Amino acid sequence: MKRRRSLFLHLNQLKILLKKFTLAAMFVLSLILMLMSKNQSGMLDYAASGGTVVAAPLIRVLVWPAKMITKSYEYLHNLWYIQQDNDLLRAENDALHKLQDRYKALEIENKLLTDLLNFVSLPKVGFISARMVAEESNAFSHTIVAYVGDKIVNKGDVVLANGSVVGRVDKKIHNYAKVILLTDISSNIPVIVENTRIRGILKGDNTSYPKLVFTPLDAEISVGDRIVTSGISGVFPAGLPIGYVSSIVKNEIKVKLFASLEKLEYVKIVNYDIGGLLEENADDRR
Amino acid sequence: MIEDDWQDNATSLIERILPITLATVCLLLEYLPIYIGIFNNIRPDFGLIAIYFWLLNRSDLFDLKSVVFIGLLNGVLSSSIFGLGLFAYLLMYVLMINLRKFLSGRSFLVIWYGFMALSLIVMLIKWLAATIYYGQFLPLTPLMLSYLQGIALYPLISMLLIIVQNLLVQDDEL
Repeated sequence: MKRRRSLFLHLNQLKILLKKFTLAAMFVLSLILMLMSKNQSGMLDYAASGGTVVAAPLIRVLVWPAKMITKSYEYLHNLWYIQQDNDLLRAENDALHKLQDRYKALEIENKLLTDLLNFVSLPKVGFISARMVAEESNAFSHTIVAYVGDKIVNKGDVVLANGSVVGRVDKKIHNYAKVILLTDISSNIPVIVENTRIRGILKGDNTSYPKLVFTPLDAEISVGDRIVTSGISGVFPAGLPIGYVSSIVKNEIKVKLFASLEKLEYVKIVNYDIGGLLEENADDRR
Repeated sequence: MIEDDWQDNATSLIERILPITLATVCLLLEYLPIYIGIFNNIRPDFGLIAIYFWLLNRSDLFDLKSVVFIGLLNGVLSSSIFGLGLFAYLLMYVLMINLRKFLSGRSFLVIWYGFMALSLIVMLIKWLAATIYYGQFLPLTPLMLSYLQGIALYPLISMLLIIVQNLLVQDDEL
Protein backbone atom coordinates (compact mmCIF):
# COMPACT_ATOMS: atom_id res chain seq x y z
CA MET A 1 0.00 0.00 0.00
CA LYS A 2 2.79 2.35 0.96
CA ARG A 3 4.71 1.60 -2.22
CA ARG A 4 1.70 2.35 -4.44
CA ARG A 5 1.12 5.62 -2.66
CA SER A 6 4.69 6.66 -3.16
CA LEU A 7 4.49 5.72 -6.86
CA PHE A 8 1.36 7.83 -7.21
CA LEU A 9 3.14 10.78 -5.65
CA HIS A 10 6.00 10.34 -8.07
CA LEU A 11 3.64 10.33 -11.01
CA ASN A 12 1.98 13.48 -9.74
CA GLN A 13 5.33 15.20 -9.38
CA LEU A 14 6.23 14.06 -12.87
CA LYS A 15 3.01 15.59 -14.19
CA ILE A 16 3.76 18.90 -12.50
CA LEU A 17 7.30 18.81 -13.86
CA LEU A 18 6.01 18.08 -17.35
CA LYS A 19 3.58 20.99 -17.10
CA LYS A 20 6.38 23.32 -16.05
CA PHE A 21 8.57 22.03 -18.84
CA THR A 22 5.79 22.57 -21.42
CA LEU A 23 5.29 26.12 -20.17
CA ALA A 24 9.01 26.84 -20.40
CA ALA A 25 9.07 25.29 -23.88
CA MET A 26 6.23 27.58 -24.97
CA PHE A 27 8.15 30.62 -23.74
CA VAL A 28 11.17 29.43 -25.70
CA LEU A 29 8.92 28.92 -28.74
CA SER A 30 7.61 32.49 -28.48
CA LEU A 31 11.19 33.81 -28.35
CA ILE A 32 12.20 31.66 -31.34
CA LEU A 33 9.19 32.98 -33.26
CA MET A 34 10.23 36.54 -32.45
CA LEU A 35 13.75 35.85 -33.73
CA MET A 36 12.33 34.26 -36.88
CA SER A 37 10.11 37.30 -37.33
CA LYS A 38 13.20 39.53 -37.13
CA ASN A 39 14.79 37.49 -39.92
CA GLN A 40 11.57 37.73 -41.97
CA SER A 41 11.08 33.99 -42.17
CA GLY A 42 9.10 32.78 -45.19
CA MET A 43 7.41 30.15 -43.05
CA LEU A 44 5.94 32.80 -40.76
CA ASP A 45 4.84 34.80 -43.78
CA TYR A 46 3.07 31.72 -45.07
CA ALA A 47 1.34 31.17 -41.71
CA ALA A 48 0.33 34.84 -41.49
CA SER A 49 -1.06 34.67 -45.04
CA GLY A 50 -3.17 31.63 -44.16
CA GLY A 51 -4.39 33.34 -41.00
CA THR A 52 -5.45 36.45 -42.90
CA VAL A 53 -7.35 34.42 -45.49
CA VAL A 54 -9.25 32.53 -42.77
CA ALA A 55 -9.84 35.48 -40.45
CA ALA A 56 -10.86 38.12 -43.01
CA PRO A 57 -14.32 36.61 -43.75
CA LEU A 58 -14.92 36.11 -40.00
CA ILE A 59 -14.05 39.74 -39.35
CA ARG A 60 -16.42 40.79 -42.14
CA VAL A 61 -19.22 38.94 -40.33
CA LEU A 62 -18.40 40.66 -37.03
CA VAL A 63 -18.17 44.09 -38.66
CA TRP A 64 -21.88 44.30 -39.42
CA PRO A 65 -23.25 44.40 -35.84
CA ALA A 66 -20.25 46.42 -34.64
CA LYS A 67 -20.82 49.02 -37.35
CA MET A 68 -24.52 49.29 -36.44
CA ILE A 69 -23.59 50.14 -32.86
CA THR A 70 -20.86 52.63 -33.75
CA LYS A 71 -22.98 54.33 -36.44
CA SER A 72 -25.85 54.79 -33.96
CA TYR A 73 -23.45 56.26 -31.41
CA GLU A 74 -21.93 58.54 -34.04
CA TYR A 75 -25.37 59.71 -35.21
CA LEU A 76 -26.45 60.63 -31.68
CA HIS A 77 -23.09 62.25 -30.97
CA ASN A 78 -23.26 64.35 -34.15
CA LEU A 79 -26.74 65.61 -33.31
CA TRP A 80 -25.24 67.59 -30.42
CA TYR A 81 -22.96 69.54 -32.75
CA ILE A 82 -25.25 69.96 -35.75
CA GLN A 83 -25.71 73.74 -35.39
CA GLN A 84 -22.02 74.36 -34.80
CA ASP A 85 -21.06 72.14 -37.77
CA ASN A 86 -23.56 73.93 -39.98
CA ASP A 87 -22.06 77.36 -39.23
CA LEU A 88 -18.55 76.03 -39.88
CA LEU A 89 -19.58 74.43 -43.17
CA ARG A 90 -21.22 77.65 -44.39
CA ALA A 91 -18.03 79.59 -43.68
CA GLU A 92 -15.93 76.90 -45.35
CA ASN A 93 -18.24 76.86 -48.37
CA ASP A 94 -17.80 80.61 -48.87
CA ALA A 95 -14.02 80.25 -48.68
CA LEU A 96 -14.08 77.35 -51.13
CA HIS A 97 -16.14 79.35 -53.65
CA LYS A 98 -13.45 82.04 -53.64
CA LEU A 99 -10.73 79.41 -54.02
CA GLN A 100 -12.63 77.77 -56.88
CA ASP A 101 -12.59 80.99 -58.89
CA ARG A 102 -8.85 81.34 -58.32
CA TYR A 103 -8.30 77.67 -59.20
CA LYS A 104 -10.17 78.04 -62.52
CA ALA A 105 -8.02 81.03 -63.48
CA LEU A 106 -4.84 79.13 -62.57
CA GLU A 107 -5.96 76.10 -64.53
CA ILE A 108 -6.39 78.14 -67.69
CA GLU A 109 -3.03 79.83 -67.14
CA ASN A 110 -1.38 76.45 -66.53
CA LYS A 111 -2.83 75.01 -69.74
CA LEU A 112 -1.57 77.99 -71.77
CA LEU A 113 1.92 77.75 -70.28
CA THR A 114 2.03 73.94 -70.72
CA ASP A 115 1.16 74.31 -74.40
CA LEU A 116 3.81 77.01 -74.80
CA LEU A 117 6.53 74.80 -73.24
CA ASN A 118 5.41 71.65 -75.10
CA PHE A 119 5.48 69.85 -71.71
CA VAL A 120 4.99 66.06 -71.71
CA SER A 121 2.52 65.06 -68.98
CA LEU A 122 2.95 61.94 -66.89
CA PRO A 123 1.09 58.89 -68.21
CA LYS A 124 -2.18 57.97 -66.56
CA VAL A 125 -1.67 55.30 -63.95
CA GLY A 126 -3.67 52.18 -63.28
CA PHE A 127 -5.49 51.90 -60.00
CA ILE A 128 -8.07 49.85 -58.19
CA SER A 129 -10.39 50.79 -55.35
CA ALA A 130 -10.59 48.34 -52.50
CA ARG A 131 -12.69 48.01 -49.39
CA MET A 132 -10.97 47.68 -46.05
CA VAL A 133 -11.83 44.47 -44.24
CA ALA A 134 -9.55 44.49 -41.21
CA GLU A 135 -7.48 46.98 -39.32
CA GLU A 136 -4.78 46.74 -36.72
CA SER A 137 -4.06 49.84 -34.72
CA ASN A 138 -2.30 49.50 -31.41
CA ALA A 139 0.94 50.33 -29.66
CA PHE A 140 2.82 47.75 -31.74
CA SER A 141 1.49 47.92 -35.30
CA HIS A 142 -0.60 50.05 -37.70
CA THR A 143 -1.79 48.11 -40.75
CA ILE A 144 -4.95 47.44 -42.73
CA VAL A 145 -6.18 44.57 -44.89
CA ALA A 146 -8.12 45.44 -48.06
CA TYR A 147 -10.10 43.10 -50.30
CA VAL A 148 -8.66 43.31 -53.83
CA GLY A 149 -10.12 40.18 -55.41
CA ASP A 150 -8.21 38.84 -58.39
CA LYS A 151 -6.83 42.26 -59.41
CA ILE A 152 -3.08 42.61 -59.77
CA VAL A 153 -1.55 44.30 -56.77
CA ASN A 154 2.20 44.43 -56.21
CA LYS A 155 4.38 44.94 -53.20
CA GLY A 156 5.16 48.63 -52.88
CA ASP A 157 2.04 49.90 -54.67
CA VAL A 158 0.97 53.27 -53.29
CA VAL A 159 -2.23 53.36 -51.24
CA LEU A 160 -4.23 56.57 -51.31
CA ALA A 161 -7.33 57.78 -49.54
CA ASN A 162 -9.06 61.03 -50.53
CA GLY A 163 -6.14 61.83 -52.83
CA SER A 164 -3.41 61.64 -50.23
CA VAL A 165 -0.97 58.85 -49.34
CA VAL A 166 -1.89 56.57 -46.44
CA GLY A 167 0.60 53.73 -46.92
CA ARG A 168 2.03 51.09 -49.22
CA VAL A 169 1.16 47.50 -50.04
CA ASP A 170 3.29 45.08 -48.05
CA LYS A 171 2.04 41.90 -49.70
CA LYS A 172 -0.89 40.35 -51.51
CA ILE A 173 -2.37 37.32 -49.82
CA HIS A 174 -4.82 35.54 -52.14
CA ASN A 175 -7.63 38.10 -52.50
CA TYR A 176 -6.38 40.46 -49.82
CA ALA A 177 -3.69 43.12 -49.69
CA LYS A 178 -1.90 43.92 -46.47
CA VAL A 179 -1.11 47.62 -46.29
CA ILE A 180 1.49 49.19 -44.00
CA LEU A 181 0.20 52.60 -42.93
CA LEU A 182 2.43 55.67 -42.75
CA THR A 183 1.99 55.64 -38.97
CA ASP A 184 3.46 52.13 -38.57
CA ILE A 185 6.88 51.91 -36.94
CA SER A 186 8.32 50.12 -39.99
CA SER A 187 7.25 52.87 -42.40
CA ASN A 188 9.97 55.22 -43.72
CA ILE A 189 9.02 57.45 -46.66
CA PRO A 190 11.29 60.02 -48.33
CA VAL A 191 9.41 63.32 -48.31
CA ILE A 192 9.93 66.97 -49.10
CA VAL A 193 8.55 70.15 -47.56
CA GLU A 194 6.54 71.57 -50.45
CA ASN A 195 7.36 75.28 -50.21
CA THR A 196 10.99 75.14 -48.98
CA ARG A 197 11.97 71.91 -50.85
CA ILE A 198 13.72 70.58 -47.72
CA ARG A 199 14.11 66.82 -47.86
CA GLY A 200 13.55 64.40 -45.01
CA ILE A 201 12.16 61.02 -44.05
CA LEU A 202 8.65 60.58 -42.70
CA LYS A 203 8.99 57.90 -40.05
CA GLY A 204 6.05 56.19 -38.38
CA ASP A 205 6.22 55.57 -34.65
CA ASN A 206 2.90 53.82 -34.00
CA THR A 207 1.23 57.08 -32.98
CA SER A 208 -1.27 59.02 -35.13
CA TYR A 209 1.38 61.62 -35.97
CA PRO A 210 4.47 60.31 -37.82
CA LYS A 211 7.77 62.15 -37.34
CA LEU A 212 9.78 64.08 -39.91
CA VAL A 213 13.42 63.06 -39.41
CA PHE A 214 16.79 63.50 -41.14
CA THR A 215 16.11 67.13 -41.98
CA PRO A 216 19.02 69.62 -41.90
CA LEU A 217 19.55 71.17 -38.45
CA ASP A 218 19.16 74.72 -39.81
CA ALA A 219 16.09 73.81 -41.89
CA GLU A 220 13.35 76.41 -41.78
CA ILE A 221 10.24 74.37 -41.22
CA SER A 222 7.14 75.83 -39.65
CA VAL A 223 3.82 74.51 -38.44
CA GLY A 224 1.36 74.22 -41.33
CA ASP A 225 3.96 73.44 -44.04
CA ARG A 226 2.71 70.87 -46.52
CA ILE A 227 4.61 67.58 -46.79
CA VAL A 228 4.65 65.66 -50.09
CA THR A 229 6.53 62.61 -51.36
CA SER A 230 9.98 63.35 -52.77
CA GLY A 231 10.10 60.32 -55.06
CA ILE A 232 13.69 59.54 -54.07
CA SER A 233 13.22 55.93 -52.94
CA GLY A 234 11.68 54.87 -56.23
CA VAL A 235 8.62 53.44 -54.51
CA PHE A 236 6.56 56.62 -54.35
CA PRO A 237 6.37 59.10 -57.22
CA ALA A 238 7.19 62.70 -56.35
CA GLY A 239 4.59 65.25 -55.34
CA LEU A 240 1.91 63.08 -53.74
CA PRO A 241 0.32 64.92 -50.81
CA ILE A 242 0.86 63.37 -47.38
CA GLY A 243 0.05 65.92 -44.65
CA TYR A 244 1.21 69.05 -42.93
CA VAL A 245 3.52 69.89 -40.05
CA SER A 246 1.35 69.90 -36.94
CA SER A 247 3.90 70.61 -34.22
CA ILE A 248 7.62 71.25 -33.68
CA VAL A 249 8.77 70.53 -30.16
CA LYS A 250 12.50 70.34 -29.32
CA ASN A 251 13.47 69.52 -32.93
CA GLU A 252 10.81 66.80 -33.10
CA ILE A 253 8.63 67.56 -36.10
CA LYS A 254 5.25 65.85 -36.08
CA VAL A 255 3.13 65.54 -39.20
CA LYS A 256 -0.66 65.36 -39.35
CA LEU A 257 -1.79 63.25 -42.29
CA PHE A 258 -4.38 64.67 -44.68
CA ALA A 259 -6.28 61.38 -44.69
CA SER A 260 -8.19 60.34 -41.57
CA LEU A 261 -6.73 56.88 -40.98
CA GLU A 262 -9.32 56.14 -38.32
CA LYS A 263 -12.16 56.66 -40.78
CA LEU A 264 -10.79 54.68 -43.73
CA GLU A 265 -13.35 52.54 -45.51
CA TYR A 266 -12.17 52.44 -49.10
CA VAL A 267 -8.67 52.93 -50.42
CA LYS A 268 -7.20 53.46 -53.87
CA ILE A 269 -4.26 51.21 -54.72
CA VAL A 270 -2.18 52.80 -57.46
CA ASN A 271 0.51 51.13 -59.48
CA TYR A 272 2.95 53.77 -60.76
CA ASP A 273 5.20 51.00 -62.07
CA ILE A 274 8.30 52.84 -60.90
CA GLY A 275 9.73 49.62 -59.48
CA GLY A 276 9.84 48.10 -62.99
CA LEU A 277 11.49 51.23 -64.38
CA LEU A 278 14.21 51.06 -61.77
CA GLU A 279 14.85 47.38 -62.51
CA GLU A 280 15.14 48.16 -66.24
CA ASN A 281 17.64 50.95 -65.52
CA ALA A 282 19.67 48.60 -63.36
CA ASP A 283 19.69 46.02 -66.20
CA ASP A 284 20.86 48.68 -68.69
CA ARG A 285 23.72 49.67 -66.41
CA ARG A 286 24.82 46.05 -66.17
CA MET B 1 -33.71 9.05 -23.32
CA ILE B 2 -31.63 9.14 -26.52
CA GLU B 3 -32.72 12.73 -27.03
CA ASP B 4 -31.58 13.58 -23.48
CA ASP B 5 -28.20 11.96 -24.09
CA TRP B 6 -27.77 13.87 -27.34
CA GLN B 7 -28.70 17.11 -25.59
CA ASP B 8 -26.29 16.39 -22.75
CA ASN B 9 -23.48 15.65 -25.20
CA ALA B 10 -24.18 18.80 -27.20
CA THR B 11 -24.29 20.91 -24.02
CA SER B 12 -21.07 19.38 -22.79
CA LEU B 13 -19.39 20.04 -26.15
CA ILE B 14 -20.56 23.65 -26.23
CA GLU B 15 -19.41 24.10 -22.64
CA ARG B 16 -15.97 22.76 -23.54
CA ILE B 17 -15.44 24.85 -26.66
CA LEU B 18 -17.15 28.00 -25.42
CA PRO B 19 -14.16 29.65 -23.66
CA ILE B 20 -11.78 29.23 -26.59
CA THR B 21 -14.46 30.24 -29.14
CA LEU B 22 -15.34 33.40 -27.22
CA ALA B 23 -11.67 34.21 -26.67
CA THR B 24 -11.15 33.88 -30.45
CA VAL B 25 -14.10 36.22 -31.11
CA CYS B 26 -12.65 38.69 -28.60
CA LEU B 27 -9.31 38.56 -30.41
CA LEU B 28 -10.99 39.19 -33.77
CA LEU B 29 -12.76 42.25 -32.30
CA GLU B 30 -9.36 43.91 -32.15
CA TYR B 31 -9.16 43.87 -35.95
CA LEU B 32 -12.60 45.27 -36.81
CA PRO B 33 -12.25 48.24 -39.18
CA ILE B 34 -14.56 50.51 -37.22
CA TYR B 35 -14.05 53.98 -35.85
CA ILE B 36 -15.03 54.86 -32.30
CA GLY B 37 -14.20 58.47 -31.47
CA ILE B 38 -13.37 57.95 -27.81
CA PHE B 39 -10.94 55.14 -28.68
CA ASN B 40 -8.78 57.55 -30.74
CA ASN B 41 -8.15 54.67 -33.16
CA ILE B 42 -6.23 52.67 -30.56
CA ARG B 43 -7.68 49.30 -29.61
CA PRO B 44 -7.65 47.58 -26.24
CA ASP B 45 -6.09 44.12 -26.02
CA PHE B 46 -9.34 42.12 -26.12
CA GLY B 47 -7.38 38.86 -26.19
CA LEU B 48 -5.75 39.66 -22.85
CA ILE B 49 -9.14 40.48 -21.31
CA ALA B 50 -10.58 37.15 -22.50
CA ILE B 51 -7.55 35.17 -21.28
CA TYR B 52 -7.71 36.75 -17.82
CA PHE B 53 -11.45 36.16 -17.60
CA TRP B 54 -11.37 32.51 -18.64
CA LEU B 55 -8.26 31.60 -16.64
CA LEU B 56 -9.98 33.00 -13.59
CA ASN B 57 -13.41 31.52 -14.13
CA ARG B 58 -12.96 28.33 -16.15
CA SER B 59 -9.36 27.25 -15.80
CA ASP B 60 -10.56 23.65 -16.21
CA LEU B 61 -11.66 24.44 -19.79
CA PHE B 62 -9.15 27.15 -20.64
CA ASP B 63 -5.67 25.80 -20.06
CA LEU B 64 -2.17 26.29 -21.45
CA LYS B 65 -3.19 24.79 -24.83
CA SER B 66 -5.91 27.42 -25.22
CA VAL B 67 -3.53 30.23 -24.27
CA VAL B 68 -0.98 29.00 -26.83
CA PHE B 69 -3.69 28.77 -29.50
CA ILE B 70 -4.88 32.34 -28.86
CA GLY B 71 -1.28 33.55 -28.74
CA LEU B 72 -0.42 31.92 -32.07
CA LEU B 73 -3.63 33.23 -33.62
CA ASN B 74 -2.66 36.69 -32.48
CA GLY B 75 0.72 36.24 -34.15
CA VAL B 76 -0.87 35.08 -37.37
CA LEU B 77 -3.37 37.97 -37.51
CA SER B 78 -1.14 40.76 -36.30
CA SER B 79 1.38 42.58 -38.46
CA SER B 80 3.41 43.18 -35.36
CA ILE B 81 6.19 40.86 -34.15
CA PHE B 82 5.25 37.20 -34.54
CA GLY B 83 5.43 35.54 -31.13
CA LEU B 84 5.09 38.74 -29.10
CA GLY B 85 1.39 38.14 -28.48
CA LEU B 86 2.09 34.54 -27.45
CA PHE B 87 4.81 35.75 -25.08
CA ALA B 88 2.45 38.27 -23.47
CA TYR B 89 -0.39 35.76 -23.09
CA LEU B 90 1.98 33.18 -21.56
CA LEU B 91 3.05 35.82 -19.07
CA MET B 92 -0.58 36.37 -18.13
CA TYR B 93 -0.97 32.59 -17.78
CA VAL B 94 2.02 32.35 -15.40
CA LEU B 95 0.73 35.26 -13.32
CA MET B 96 -2.76 33.79 -13.22
CA ILE B 97 -1.76 30.27 -12.15
CA ASN B 98 0.07 31.83 -9.22
CA LEU B 99 -2.64 34.32 -8.27
CA ARG B 100 -5.81 32.40 -9.16
CA LYS B 101 -6.26 31.10 -5.63
CA PHE B 102 -6.10 34.63 -4.28
CA LEU B 103 -8.45 36.11 -6.90
CA SER B 104 -11.11 33.43 -7.31
CA GLY B 105 -14.26 33.90 -5.28
CA ARG B 106 -13.45 37.52 -4.53
CA SER B 107 -15.74 40.48 -5.20
CA PHE B 108 -15.84 41.91 -8.72
CA LEU B 109 -13.92 44.98 -7.59
CA VAL B 110 -10.96 42.87 -6.42
CA ILE B 111 -11.01 40.91 -9.69
CA TRP B 112 -11.05 44.19 -11.61
CA TYR B 113 -8.13 45.53 -9.59
CA GLY B 114 -6.38 42.24 -10.29
CA PHE B 115 -6.84 42.78 -14.02
CA MET B 116 -5.55 46.35 -13.72
CA ALA B 117 -2.36 45.17 -12.01
CA LEU B 118 -1.69 42.06 -14.10
CA SER B 119 -2.45 43.62 -17.49
CA LEU B 120 -0.17 46.56 -16.62
CA ILE B 121 2.68 44.17 -15.84
CA VAL B 122 2.05 42.15 -19.02
CA MET B 123 1.77 45.23 -21.27
CA LEU B 124 4.90 46.85 -19.88
CA ILE B 125 6.93 43.66 -20.38
CA LYS B 126 5.47 43.35 -23.89
CA TRP B 127 6.44 46.97 -24.56
CA LEU B 128 9.95 46.29 -23.26
CA ALA B 129 10.29 43.22 -25.50
CA ALA B 130 9.12 45.23 -28.54
CA THR B 131 11.50 48.05 -27.63
CA ILE B 132 14.43 45.60 -27.54
CA TYR B 133 13.25 44.02 -30.81
CA TYR B 134 13.08 47.33 -32.70
CA GLY B 135 16.11 48.79 -30.92
CA GLN B 136 14.25 51.99 -30.11
CA PHE B 137 11.80 53.16 -27.48
CA LEU B 138 8.24 52.72 -28.62
CA PRO B 139 5.89 55.55 -27.64
CA LEU B 140 4.15 54.86 -24.34
CA THR B 141 1.03 56.93 -25.04
CA PRO B 142 -0.74 54.41 -27.33
CA LEU B 143 0.18 51.64 -24.92
CA MET B 144 -1.30 53.50 -21.96
CA LEU B 145 -4.40 54.39 -24.00
CA SER B 146 -4.85 50.74 -24.92
CA TYR B 147 -4.33 49.75 -21.27
CA LEU B 148 -6.88 52.26 -19.97
CA GLN B 149 -9.40 51.19 -22.60
CA GLY B 150 -8.91 47.57 -21.58
CA ILE B 151 -9.54 48.43 -17.94
CA ALA B 152 -12.62 50.50 -18.79
CA LEU B 153 -14.03 47.74 -20.99
CA TYR B 154 -13.24 44.83 -18.66
CA PRO B 155 -16.57 45.00 -16.75
CA LEU B 156 -18.55 45.15 -20.00
CA ILE B 157 -16.64 42.33 -21.71
CA SER B 158 -16.76 40.08 -18.65
CA MET B 159 -20.49 40.76 -18.28
CA LEU B 160 -21.08 39.85 -21.94
CA LEU B 161 -19.01 36.68 -21.57
CA ILE B 162 -21.02 35.66 -18.50
CA ILE B 163 -24.31 36.37 -20.30
CA VAL B 164 -23.30 34.30 -23.36
CA GLN B 165 -22.08 31.47 -21.16
CA ASN B 166 -25.31 31.47 -19.15
CA LEU B 167 -27.45 31.61 -22.29
CA LEU B 168 -25.74 28.67 -23.96
CA VAL B 169 -25.01 26.47 -20.98
CA GLN B 170 -27.73 26.25 -18.36
CA ASP B 171 -28.03 23.74 -15.56
CA ASP B 172 -31.53 22.24 -15.53
CA GLU B 173 -33.13 21.99 -12.12
CA LEU B 174 -34.04 18.44 -11.24
